[in-house]
Amino acid sequence: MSHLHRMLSTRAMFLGIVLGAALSGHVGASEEGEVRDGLQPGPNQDLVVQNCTACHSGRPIAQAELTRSQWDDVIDWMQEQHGMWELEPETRDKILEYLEEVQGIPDR
Amino acid sequence: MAFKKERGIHELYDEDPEKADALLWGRKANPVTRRGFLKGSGLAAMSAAVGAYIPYAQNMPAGLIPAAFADELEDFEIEGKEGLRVLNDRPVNAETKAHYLDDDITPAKRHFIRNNGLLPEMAEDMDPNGWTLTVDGEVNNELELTLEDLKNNNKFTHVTYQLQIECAGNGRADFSPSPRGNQWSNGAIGCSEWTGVPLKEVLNAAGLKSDAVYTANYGLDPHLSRDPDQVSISRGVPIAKAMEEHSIIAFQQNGEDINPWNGFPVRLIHPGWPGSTSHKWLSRIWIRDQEHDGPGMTGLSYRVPSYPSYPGEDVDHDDMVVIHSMPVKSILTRPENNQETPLHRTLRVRGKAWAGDLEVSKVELSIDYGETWQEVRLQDPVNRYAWQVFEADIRFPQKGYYEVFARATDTEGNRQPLTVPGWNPRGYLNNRADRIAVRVT
Repeated sequence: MSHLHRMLSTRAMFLGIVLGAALSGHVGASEEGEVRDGLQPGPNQDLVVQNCTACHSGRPIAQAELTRSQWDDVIDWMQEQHGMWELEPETRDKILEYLEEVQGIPDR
Repeated sequence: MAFKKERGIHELYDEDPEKADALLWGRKANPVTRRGFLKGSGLAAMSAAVGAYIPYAQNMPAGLIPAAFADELEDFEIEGKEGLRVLNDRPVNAETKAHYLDDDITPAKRHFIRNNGLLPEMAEDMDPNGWTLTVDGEVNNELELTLEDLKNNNKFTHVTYQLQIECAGNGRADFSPSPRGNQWSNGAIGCSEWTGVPLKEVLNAAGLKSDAVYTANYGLDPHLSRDPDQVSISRGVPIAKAMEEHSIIAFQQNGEDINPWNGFPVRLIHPGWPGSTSHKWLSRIWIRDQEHDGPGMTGLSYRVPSYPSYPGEDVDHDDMVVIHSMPVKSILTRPENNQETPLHRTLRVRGKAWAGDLEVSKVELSIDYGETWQEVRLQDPVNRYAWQVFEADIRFPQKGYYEVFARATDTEGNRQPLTVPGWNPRGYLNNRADRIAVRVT
């Protein structure tokens, strides 16, 4: 291995160890579940896949951090301006549960 | 798994940069200067992680993720493009990696991609047959122009300019909490050479009525839902910007047909303003007697608060104002991030700078986290709205890990900040100074 290559692999390993220790118990890392179309694992992920990735991938969702109320506004905007269908109240609640837990920030 | 780890460090820093510093490196910031003093085991830990001794560690601002860790998502091939980092595949959005922007004129294959919808059939097939441009609304004569009309230099003047196009959200990835939108780092910028007709000539041919206030652009890109009644995006500009000499209807990019991802066969360019005003796959310009309100004009879209908002704030839509000129900005294009260089030679550093409607008057570099700066050679733009090339040969005092920062100042004295500027709900206008990691051996 070239010197640089060896340096980078050692760095990657080291980073892995340090991050592993720092992340466990800190970020809400799921043991189960997988990333689907860019969406991180979380409760009701399947409903989010079904209702929210017909047009765009899960990445626009996975890349944002909003309050529950801001996510609620986003769903309104999808329905008003981008042709998203109506949601049963219970479905909307479950989708918001996912968004709040996985992509949520506290209301200030 | 690699994805999770690499997201991990950004999540940690997003949530609480100082806590992340403490957690990862045992680093605490000096409460007055906000500079991190990295000592003992913390300094050893960060040095091991970046793989080198770090001169100037005492200047490194608290909460700064070392540039050495900032990179890397998996590569993804897009036909006809190279050097892009893909942010999304539906819709396709991809930024140019900084070291692929070193050409004075951005080759079409390296120009970034920003889609709101799907690629139009005409662009997929690279066949302009049947393309027309409608100009209607507050005009005396409605126009329907063909490509032959536009290309006929008995009808219209042809101009060729190097024009920078930048996404309003370039740099969004730096904001915390993470606002909605593509997480561009620094590569949503390009400066190709564009040939076309001044928009002014076409609008004068149509004859603007006295109540013409704003343009409203429409294009051929299908909405993601494929619903023909839905519009993926429609923005416009005040008439004054539309009538500027360098606002053009372009039909060539670097002397050839426009790249399908960048607007084949015809696009608008309003250089210096958010790229979303430079409508791709143009098919219609509707002249309106009021500010346009199409998708992308209202609410939070391409708007910033009229006052400094706090991170995560719910800003009232009535307090949001439309973005016009983009702010002063620059990017380091050479060397590539994380390059090794020998101590006893100077390092040639190159980059590009631009400033919306204005010009760049000065570019400076720092190798000690902003404590000291040296002014560098800066070229004039070849025409208004082209970016400007800067370069310098720099020396390092000893071996180790450095970060080279670049900051530009425009002709009105506005200078790029070292820190991320004010948070806004959609994460626009981050013109923080760019930086690259260098390892001196």
